[in-house]
This record gives sequence, C-alpha cells and structure tokens, in this order.
Amino acid sequence: MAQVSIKHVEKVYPAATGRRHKPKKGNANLKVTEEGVLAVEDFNLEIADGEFIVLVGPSGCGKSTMLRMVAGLEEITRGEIYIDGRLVNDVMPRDRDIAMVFQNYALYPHKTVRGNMEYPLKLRKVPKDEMNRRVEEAAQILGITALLDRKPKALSGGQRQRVAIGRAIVREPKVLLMDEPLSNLDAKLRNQMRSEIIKLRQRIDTTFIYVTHDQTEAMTLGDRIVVMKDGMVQQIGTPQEVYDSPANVFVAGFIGVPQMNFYDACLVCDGEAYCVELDGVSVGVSAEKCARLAARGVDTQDITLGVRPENIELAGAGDTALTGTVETTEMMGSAVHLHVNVDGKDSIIILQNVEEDGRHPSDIKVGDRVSFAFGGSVVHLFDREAGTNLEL
Amino acid sequence: MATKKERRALSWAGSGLMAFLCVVWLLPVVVVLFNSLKNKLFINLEPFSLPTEQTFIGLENYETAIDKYGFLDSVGWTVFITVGSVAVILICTSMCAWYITRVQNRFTKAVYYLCVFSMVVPFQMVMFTLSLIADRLGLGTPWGIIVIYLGFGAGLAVFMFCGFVKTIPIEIEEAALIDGAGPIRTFFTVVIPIMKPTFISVGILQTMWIWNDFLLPYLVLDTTKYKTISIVIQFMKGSYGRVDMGAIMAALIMAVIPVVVFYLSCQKYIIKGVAAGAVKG
Repeated sequence: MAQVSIKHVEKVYPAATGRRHKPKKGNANLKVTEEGVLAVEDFNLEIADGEFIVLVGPSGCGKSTMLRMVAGLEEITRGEIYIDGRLVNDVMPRDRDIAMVFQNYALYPHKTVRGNMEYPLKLRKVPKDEMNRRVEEAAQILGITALLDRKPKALSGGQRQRVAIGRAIVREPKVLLMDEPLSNLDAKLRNQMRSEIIKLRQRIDTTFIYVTHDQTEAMTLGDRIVVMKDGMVQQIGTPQEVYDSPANVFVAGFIGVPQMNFYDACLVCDGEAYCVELDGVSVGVSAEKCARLAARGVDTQDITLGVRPENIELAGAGDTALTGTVETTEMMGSAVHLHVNVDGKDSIIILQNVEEDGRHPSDIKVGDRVSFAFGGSVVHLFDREAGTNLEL
Repeated sequence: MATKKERRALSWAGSGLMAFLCVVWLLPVVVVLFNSLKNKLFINLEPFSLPTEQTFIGLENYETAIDKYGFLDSVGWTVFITVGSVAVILICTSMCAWYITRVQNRFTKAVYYLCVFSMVVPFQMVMFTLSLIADRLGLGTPWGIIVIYLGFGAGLAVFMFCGFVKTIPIEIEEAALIDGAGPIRTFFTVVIPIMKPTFISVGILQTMWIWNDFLLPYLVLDTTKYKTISIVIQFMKGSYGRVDMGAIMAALIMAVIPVVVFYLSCQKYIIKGVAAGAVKG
C-alpha cells in the first residue's frame, strides 16, 4: 500500500510529434499551445493508502495518459508525482514498485500462465520457493490454478484478464494500475469480472488506480472517482457525491444511465425562495437547495435545468406538467424507458414496470401524448453559459 | 456458367499443366543426379540417358570431387560464412527493425527507406566499387565477408521484421518494462520469442541465398585461401577448356542436398513468417 500524490501534473505532446497526437475527431477541445497538444492539464490528486481511485471520462480525455505517467511509461511535462512520499518523476517504471493491468491483457504469448506470473518475480530474483508460493496463492485467489500450464492463446478473454491481474498481484506492488481492464470483455463477463475485482480489492492490500470510460464501473468500484474531460479534471468525489451533486453539465450528463435530461429554463429568485420556469410550468425549488443558492447569492437568471430520468413521474390529470409525444419505448425488464419529444428535445423517463393507479407502463404506446412532472428537490441547476452547478 | 463436366475438365487441364511444369522444373536436377553417377566421358555424349552398365561408375565422381578438389574444405567455409552471416543478419536486423518501428522519427524513417531501397539495387551495379572497398578494408576473408552479407541481407530482413514488429502490441513491451526488464532483456526474452516465425523465415531465405551465392565470394574472397562450394565448382572447370563434368555433377548434388533438406524441414515457417503481419492476429 502507498499514498500517491499527484501535484500540478501536465502532459504536452510536443509540436514536433504533434501530427501523431493531433486531437482526434470528438476531442477537438484539447488545447493546442505553442508547446504542442495539452493532453493533461493541471492534474491534482491525493490518493490515500489502500484507496480505490477511478479515473473516468470519454475517450481521449487524458485518463490513460495520466495513468501512464504514474506508471512511468509517459514522461511528465510539468508537475510532480510522489509514491509513498518519494518523487518518482525520473524513476524507471520497474523501480516505482507498481504493477499494471492493460486493456489488451499484454500477456507474453510464448510463456505459460505460470511463466507469465513468474516473469516479474524472476527479474527481481525472488527465491524459487517464494516464487512458487506467490504464484500459487495468486492463482488460487483468481481461480486460475488449473490453467497454470496453459499458454495464453488457449485461454478465454476472461481467463486472460485474470492471468494479467495475477501477474500484477504476485509482485505485491504498492500501487496497482488498471487501464480499462474490462473493456475487451463481453457484457456478462464484464459484470462478473467487476464483482471479482471488488472481491480482489478486499483480499489484497494495495492502492488501486483504475481507468475506465464506463461510468457503471466507476460508480461500482471506486472509493472516489475522478471525472475528466479534455485533459482537465471536472470533479473528484465519492460516487454518491458525483451522482447527487455533479459539478457541471458535463459530469451530470456523463454520470448516470440513462443520462440526465437537460432543459433551457429560467431560475426566478423571490427573496430567499427560488422557482424554475420552463415552458410555462413553474417548479418550486426545495428549501435545502434554496438555502444553498441564497448563500451563493444566485439571482434570477437563465439556466440549464437537469433532471434525472428516474426522478420524473407521469403526471395525473390537472397537474401542472410538461407534455410531449412518446417516440420510443424501451422495455428493460424491471423498468420501461420512455423517450418523449418535448418541443423537439428528447426527454427520457424511467417508469417502474408495475401497475400504478390502474395504469401499466406497457399500455403507453409510441405516439401517445404524455404529461410528466418532477419535484423541486431533484432538480439540478446549472449556469447556462459556464455550465457550472449553481449550488456548489 | 460452366457445367460440372466443363469445370472438371478445366480442373484436370490445370492439374496437367502444373504437373508438366513440375517435371520441367525438376528435370535439370534429375539429369544432374543421373550424370553424377556416370563416367565423365559419357556425360557430354549422352547427357539425358539413364546410367547403364557401361556408363555407371557409382560414387567415383563424388570421391573425385572430395579428394581432388577439396570439396569438404569448401563446405566448411560455406557453412562458416552462411551460419555467421545469417546469425549476424538476424540479430542486427531484428534489433534495427525493432528500433525503427518503436522509435519513430526522421532518422529511423530514413534508415527504413534506405533498407527498402537497397532491395531494388542490383548487385551488379555495385559489385565493382564493393570489391574495391572490400579489398581496401581487408574484408576479403570469411570473417570480413560476413559484414558485406549483413549489408546485402539487411534490406529484406529489416523490411520483413518491421512488418512483424508492427503487429506486436506495444503493451507487451511496456508490461515487461514494468515487470522489471530493461530494453535488452525485453528484446531477447520477450520480443525475439514472439518474432520466432519471422526469425525462422528470414533465416531460411538468407541461408538459401548465401549458401548458393557465387558472385560476391568470388569477387571478394582471396580464392587462393578460401573457396566456397560455388567457387570450387567453378574451379573444376580447369584451364584450356578442361572440364571435369563428373566431379561438377557430384559437387552440385552434394551442394544442393543440405539446402533442400533445410528448406523442406522449415518451409512451413517461411509461409508463416511471410504472411505474418498481413492481418491482425
């Protein structure tokens, strides 16, 4: 176990190699300075002993680059990285006492599973008995004892990923880095491996830094999650904090499935009370939120209103509500997702798949007009221009 | 649309044509084999006839080639030059290809294109200057010629190795780096074992070329001291037009046997190695 300190770390791919690192389509917002492309900008993070940190964000946001800088596979342009109090900026990867699990497993194809797991120990001249003990123990934890004499090509994707994790944990590293380790697995196996990583975490004493673009993995695995976009940290917090109080529109949209609904609305301030007006509907903001808004001196203004699909309910007759046309319905088993077109914008509503007030969600058909409403305690209020959360 | 009957006829015709080409291809080798067992007087008179009781002399031509012309010495030098050159080519060019592929800059790009370009330059174009330079640098020895073979073999070898290294995920090397291996150890314990199919196919192609090469050793080596198999065979054509055809035929057969056996035992790797990198594995 070790503390990891990341202070003001930046990564710039120089202009000379700029062509290779030119921002790709989709992350054209990466900054291009005179030095080159700014892949990671002013990254600060304190990771406690044994903590499980997840870096999450869309492709090209700099999360893997950040992880590779911690691993020593990528040079740091500016800033400092400390592992267990030791500055490791210029320390070779092998001397950082870290291990890494790669997205594509990166197993040595010519070695058996045992050979793969023994390799880092052989290089560290660990005695044969100790080496065998550690390999057997790791194999037992990961359930790959029966596979020890097989070559990687004779293993399934899930088994290969287990071996990759095994190779990393036999080292008993201070920090275990995982770069999208489940991305190459199918959905079922991914869920299974996710729960195995949770169990693994309970069995081994190490600090985890985990990179993923899958917000479900981030929410389920991390003690804290770091949401990144265009090389910049958007928010750091526990999964609950990030879900309940997203720092900005990007985080609000990225965390949560299906993603949050956004509407252009107006926040009206009346003394210490606030209400939101959209499409002629007025929703009173809860007292708790009002207090936070008042404390920050928020005045009447145009805002982006965010509401999570699971916080929306179908309105009864006579309720003040938004109305739209159902465009598609998605039967998810325990719930039904409705895509409702409200003045040309898509709103998603999650309805529990149970009969309520004599109505069952399956009765709703494409083309039906539905009215829906939400309470003042579940709304998220963002500055229209900056996109920041007005309550934080 | 061809009918089933027509398709079968076409198939037979194709097979017949291929069989004919095989015979045409193998006939010279068979003729050499038969003539190597005949008295040299009859080789010129009846080159295409089978050995008869009158013409058959057993292995006498083979004994002559070995005893009179020092064939075994030439085998020794050829083995030394071939093994040495192939080993040096494999080690140097695989390292070079690894560097070129992993470190991408103008220098490595220039080296790569230089290597590829060297494949299209015919030997005859450079042989005069080359033999002159080899002479000045004292490379006219079996040790020196290995350096020259490295230069000539590098083009194809670097080209093939680069194609393969591109298909090796860089994460494997990064994993080795994190596991504690330095670049040299990574190369020898991780990269080379992965490159094995290409390693073998490059080795086979280079072996066959160097083993059979005549012009380069003839121009560069001091032939009074060092003779390769092809030079010895050339020397069997004596002065004043005297040619020991029996010994030549026997020497040709002895020269070709090792390389044919070598090729047949390793041919599956050639296909594997040449195809490697063509598709994502």
